[in-house]
Amino acid sequence: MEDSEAQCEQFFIFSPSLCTREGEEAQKIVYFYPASTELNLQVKCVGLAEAVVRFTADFSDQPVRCLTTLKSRQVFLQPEPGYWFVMRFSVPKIPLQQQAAAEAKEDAEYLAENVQDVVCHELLHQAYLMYRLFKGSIAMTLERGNVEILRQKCNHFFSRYLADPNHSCFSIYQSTLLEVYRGVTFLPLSKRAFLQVHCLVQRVQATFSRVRFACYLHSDQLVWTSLHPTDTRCVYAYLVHSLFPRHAEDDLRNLDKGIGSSGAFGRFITGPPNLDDPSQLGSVPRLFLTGPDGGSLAECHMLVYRSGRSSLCLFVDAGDPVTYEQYLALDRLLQPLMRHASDTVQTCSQQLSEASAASASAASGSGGGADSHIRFLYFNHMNSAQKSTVFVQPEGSKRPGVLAVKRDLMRLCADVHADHCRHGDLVDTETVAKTAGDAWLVAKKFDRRDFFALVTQFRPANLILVTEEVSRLCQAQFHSILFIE
Amino acid sequence: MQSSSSDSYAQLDDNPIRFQPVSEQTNVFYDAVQSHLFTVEKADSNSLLVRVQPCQSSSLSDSTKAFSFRLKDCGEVKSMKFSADCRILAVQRSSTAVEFVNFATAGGAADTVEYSQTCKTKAAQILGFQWTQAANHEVLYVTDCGLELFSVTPEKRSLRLVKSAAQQCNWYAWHHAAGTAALSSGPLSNQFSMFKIGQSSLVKTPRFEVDLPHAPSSSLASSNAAGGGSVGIGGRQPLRERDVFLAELYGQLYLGVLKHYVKPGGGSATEIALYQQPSSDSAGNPRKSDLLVLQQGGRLAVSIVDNLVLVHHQRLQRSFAFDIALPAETDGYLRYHQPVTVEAMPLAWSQPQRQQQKQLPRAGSQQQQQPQDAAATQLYSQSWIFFLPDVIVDAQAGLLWRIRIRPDRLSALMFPMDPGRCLHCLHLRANAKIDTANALRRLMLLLTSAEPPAAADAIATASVTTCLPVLAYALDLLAAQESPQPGPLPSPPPPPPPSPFDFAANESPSAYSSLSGMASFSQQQQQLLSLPARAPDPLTQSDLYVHLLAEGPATEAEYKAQVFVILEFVRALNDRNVPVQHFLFETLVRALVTTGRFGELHQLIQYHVISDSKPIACLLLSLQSLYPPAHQLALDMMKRLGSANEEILEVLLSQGRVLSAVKFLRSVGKFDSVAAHKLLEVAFESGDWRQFYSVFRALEQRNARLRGSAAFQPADHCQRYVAEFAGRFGQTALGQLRAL
Repeated sequence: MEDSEAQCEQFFIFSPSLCTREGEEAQKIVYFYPASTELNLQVKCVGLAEAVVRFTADFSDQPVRCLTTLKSRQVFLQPEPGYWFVMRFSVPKIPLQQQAAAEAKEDAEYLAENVQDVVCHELLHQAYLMYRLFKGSIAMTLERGNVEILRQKCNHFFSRYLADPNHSCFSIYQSTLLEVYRGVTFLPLSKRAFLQVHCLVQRVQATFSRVRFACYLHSDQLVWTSLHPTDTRCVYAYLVHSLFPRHAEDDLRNLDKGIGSSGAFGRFITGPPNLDDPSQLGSVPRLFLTGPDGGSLAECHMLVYRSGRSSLCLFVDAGDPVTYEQYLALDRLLQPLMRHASDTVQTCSQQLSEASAASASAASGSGGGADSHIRFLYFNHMNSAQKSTVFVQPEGSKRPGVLAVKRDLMRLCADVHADHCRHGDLVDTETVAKTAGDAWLVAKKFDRRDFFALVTQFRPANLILVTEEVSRLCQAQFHSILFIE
Repeated sequence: MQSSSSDSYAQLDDNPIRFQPVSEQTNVFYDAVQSHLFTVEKADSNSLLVRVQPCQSSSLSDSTKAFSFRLKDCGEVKSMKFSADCRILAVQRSSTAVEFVNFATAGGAADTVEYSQTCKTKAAQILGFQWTQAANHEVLYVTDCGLELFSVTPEKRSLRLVKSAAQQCNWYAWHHAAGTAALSSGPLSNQFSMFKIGQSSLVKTPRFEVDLPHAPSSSLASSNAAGGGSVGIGGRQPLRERDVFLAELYGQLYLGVLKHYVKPGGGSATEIALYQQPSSDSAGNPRKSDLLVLQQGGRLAVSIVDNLVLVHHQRLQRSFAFDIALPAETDGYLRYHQPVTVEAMPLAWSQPQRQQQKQLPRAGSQQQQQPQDAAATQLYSQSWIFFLPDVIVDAQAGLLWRIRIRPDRLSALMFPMDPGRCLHCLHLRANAKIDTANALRRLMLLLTSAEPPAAADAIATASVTTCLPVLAYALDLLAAQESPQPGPLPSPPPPPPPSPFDFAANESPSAYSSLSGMASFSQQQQQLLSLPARAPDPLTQSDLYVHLLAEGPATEAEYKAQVFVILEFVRALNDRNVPVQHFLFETLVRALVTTGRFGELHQLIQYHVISDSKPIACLLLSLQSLYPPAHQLALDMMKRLGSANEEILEVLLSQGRVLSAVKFLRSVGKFDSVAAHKLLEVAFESGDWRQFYSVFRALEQRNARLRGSAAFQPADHCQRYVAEFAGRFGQTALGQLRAL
C-alpha cells in the first residue's frame, strides 16, 4: 500500500489571453509536461482547465484551487494575472479482485485520501516560486521580451526542475506536510557566536557595496539571512536540496585534503573553481530576489563561499559580472574571517547540541534520543522556522533522511493542518487523534505556530498519558517561547 | 607635509610662571617634587631673600600663593626643598651637611634658628637629598657611599638616623611617587641598585647592569659636560646622569636609559631602553622591556606627559612622542616602539583659540602672531632645563612652562596615517573622550559615504575598507575597558592600504589579511599586551551613546552605520561578558525599524542578541501593524521575562483569544485570581456562543471550587453575562456542573 503514491502526470502553464482566434488554441500553451504529449491532447487538457477556471469564477471570488476526479487530482494556481499553472496528479489505486471489480464496475480501488489538496497545491506554488527565483516573474519577461522568450525560459527551467529528484515534485512520495511548510531550520547558537557571524556579514556587506543580500548557513542550517522571507525559503531549499548535495563529494574530498595541507580552507562553490586560474570564472547562478521594499525583483548573482561546514551566500547586484580581481579580493577578505567564524559556530553548536542531548535524556529518563517513540514537527509561520524529528538521518549520509513514522500518520498531519487552517490565524486550536495503528497525533496551533507530536508504540496509551508526554516534550523544546498547551 | 607649530600636539602653557632670571645676584632652584620654584637673591650682607613660587599646575597656581622669607647667608646654596607640609625647609650648602629651618605655618614666617645634620658616614659626600613620600618628616641623604634616612623632629630641632644602607654611588635618580632611588655605581656608572623607601625603611632590590653601546662620535659627548668627566673604558663611555631617568608609565615604574649610537653608515641614532621595575608586591628583577627607537642622535631631553614619553631633540627642534602601550613590533622579549607620529612635531606655544582661527587661512604668516613669550625666549633654547615629568625651565628668560598634550591635534595627525593606532592612542589619553568620540564619528562618516572621499582629503587613505576593522578594533578596545577582568587587548587592525578601496581593483592584499576581533591572536601577543593599559578616562557605553548615537541619523546610510557600530560594539561587549546597556538596544531597534530591516531585527531577537526587557517588548507590540511577526516576538519575550503575565493576558484578550487566555492563566497559576467579567466580556463580544459557554462554565467551576457554589456574586460584576447565559442556554443550565 505504501508504494502506491500519487504521481505528477501533467504540468502545464497557459494563458487564455494568448489566443484570440478560434483554431489557434495551441497558442495558449506556454509550457506542457510531458513534452511528448500530442498537441491535440495538450490543447484538450488546457481547454478543460480553462473551462473549469472560467466556470468556477462565476460562483466564487476565490479562484479555483483544485479539481477532484476519481482517477486524478488537478490543482490550479494563478500566480500572475492571466497566467495559470496547472498540475495533475494521478490518484493511487489498488487493483481489486475480479469479483469486487465487477461489483464496483472498476478494476481498481482509488485511494483518494492519499492525495492531499494542500500538499499538491503547495508543490505547484513552489514550482512557480522556484521558477520566479531563477527566471524572474512572467510580467518581467514579457516586459523585456515576448511570449516566445517566456516559453523558452519555462522550457529551460521546468524540463530540468521536474526531472530533478531533489525537488521531489515528480513523485509525491517524499512530499508531506514538511513540503508544505518548506521551512528553514535555524541553527541554535549562543548570541556570541551569532554576533560573530552577523558582524562578519555586516563587514562584508559594508566593504563590498554591491552585495545586496547575504545569508550564512552552517551544516545545512540557517544562521543569518537578509533576504525576504519568501526568498529565504526558496533559496534555502535550493541550497540544501540541490546545490550543496552536488558539492557534498567535493567537500568530503576537501575536508580530507584540507587538514594539515595547504591551509586554504575557503573556496567558492559558485564562481571560480580555482582561484589560481583567472581564465576559469565558473558559473554563477542568477537569481531574481525580492527587493527590500518587498515589491520589485532584483537580479543578483549568487556567490557561495564555503569554509569548513559554513557557507556564506552573497547576492551581488547583477549589473556587471564579478571579475577575477573581485573574486580574489573577496577571497582574501573571507578566508580568515570565514575560517574563524566557521570554527566558532562549529564549537558553539556542538556544545549546545551536546547540552540539549544531555538535558533531553535527563528529562525523559528513557526513550530519549533518535529512536524515540515520540516525534514532532514544528513550524512557525512568522519566520518559517521549522524543527522536526520525523526524519531519521542515516549515519554519515548526506542524503535527506528517511521518514521515521508511517506515511498515514504524516497524511493525518496534513489533514489536521488543513482543518486547523480553516479556523483562521487568530484561533488557537488543538486536535488529538488516534490512528487505527494505535499511534497518536497531538496537533496544536497557537499564534501562527503549528506543532504536531506523533506518538507511536506508546502503551498503555490513553488520552491523559499522551497529553502528559506531549506537554513534557513541549516544555523541553519550547520553554523560551509563548506556546500555551 | 610641512609641520608647523600650530599642528603640534605638545604645547607649552600660554601662561608660564615668570620669575627673576638667573644672574650674578640671583640664583634659581626648582624642586620638581613639590613644584616649588625658589629664587634666591642677596638681601643684605648676611641674609638672603628667598621667594617661593608654587607652580603645581596652571589651575592651582592661583590658590597657593607665592611667598618669601629671609635666610641666613652662610655659603653658597646648592639646593633647597620644602617638606611635604612645607613646614621644614632643607637647604644644602656644603657637600657634607644639610641645614633645616622650621616654618610656623606653610608659607608663614621662617624660624630664625637653623639646625644642621651632617651625613653619618665619614668622608662621604652628599650627592643630594630628598624628602621621602612615605613619612611626613623623613629626609633621605644620598651620598657617594650610600643612603641615610633621617627623621626630623622640628620641635626639638633635631634629626635622628633611622636607617642607612651602604652602596657606592656615582649619581642617582629619584622618583618621588614611587619612593624609589636608582643608585648608579661602577666605573661605567651602568650598575644600578634600586632602593625603595618606606616609612623608616629602605628596601634594596638586586643590582642590575645596563648594557652600553660603544662610544658615539666625540662631538656628541662634548656637547654637554654636565655628566661629569668622560673616561672611555673599553671603548665605552660611562653612563651620564642626564641620560638616565625614572618614570612611571601606566602605573609601572621604569628606569629609562638613553643610549647614543653611531649608525653603521655614519650619523648617529639613539635608543631609549626602558627597564621595567618589578611592582612593589612582586619580587623579581628589573627587565629590559621596551625600546624607543629614534633615528636621530644628538642632545636629547625627556618629558613624561599623560603617559607619553616625549623626547626632545634640541638641534632638530623637534619632539618625538612614544606611547609604550600601543602595539609594537616585538621579538618576543623586547618591544620596539616607533614614535606615534611619523613626523616629529615641534613643541609649540599654545595660543588662544581666537588667534588660531584667524591664522588658519594664512598659515604662512603665523610668525607675527606668536605670543609675547615667544619673542622673549626661543623654543628649544640652550638655556632650557627639562624637569621630569613635564616641566621646562628657561632660567635665563625667567620662565617656567608645563607641557600639555592636545589630544585633538594628536588625532588630526595620527588619524590619516592609521586610524586604528590613533583611536588606541586617544583611548589611552586623559581628557580625550571627546576626541575619541570625534575620531569614531569620523570613521562612521566614512562608512556612510559610499564613495571614498576625494583624494585631496587627508582621510583618503583611510577608506571604507580599513575603517571597518578599525571601528571594530576601537569598539573592542572600549569594550575591553568595561570588562571586569582586563583580558587580552584586541589585536590591532592591519595597516591601511595605499589606495582607496575600489571593488574593481584592490592592490593591497595585506589589508585583508587579518581583521581585529574576529581573528584570534597568538599566545605570545597576549602576554606582551598584558601591560596595564587601562585608559584613565575611557569612553563608556553612555558616552558612546551621547557622542555618537544620540543625534538621530538622517539618511539610510547613516542608520546603516549606526547599526554597524552598535552591533560591533555589542559583539565586543559580549565577547568580554560585559552587560550591554538598554539604550544601545533601543537605538538599535529604532534604527532597524526606521530603515525597515524587520527581518534582521527578528533574527537578532531570535538569537537573544537584543536582551529581553519590557520596554523592548512593548516597542515590538507597537510594531505589529508594520511587521506582523513582531507581535509573536513580543509575546515570547514577555513570557521569557516571567514578570509580564498581565501584559500577555491583555494582548490575548485584545485579540479575542479568550480560551487561550484561560489556558495561559491556568499554565501560570493565575486563573483563580483573574476578574471573571473581564473574560466573560471578551467571550461575549466575540459572538461565539460556544466560546462564551466554555468560559462561563470554566468560571462556574472556579466559583464552585473556591466558594463552594457555582453562582457568581454581585462583586463579580457578572450579572449581565449571567442573564445572557440564562437567556441563551436556559435558566436551568446555570450552575449545572457535571460532577468530575
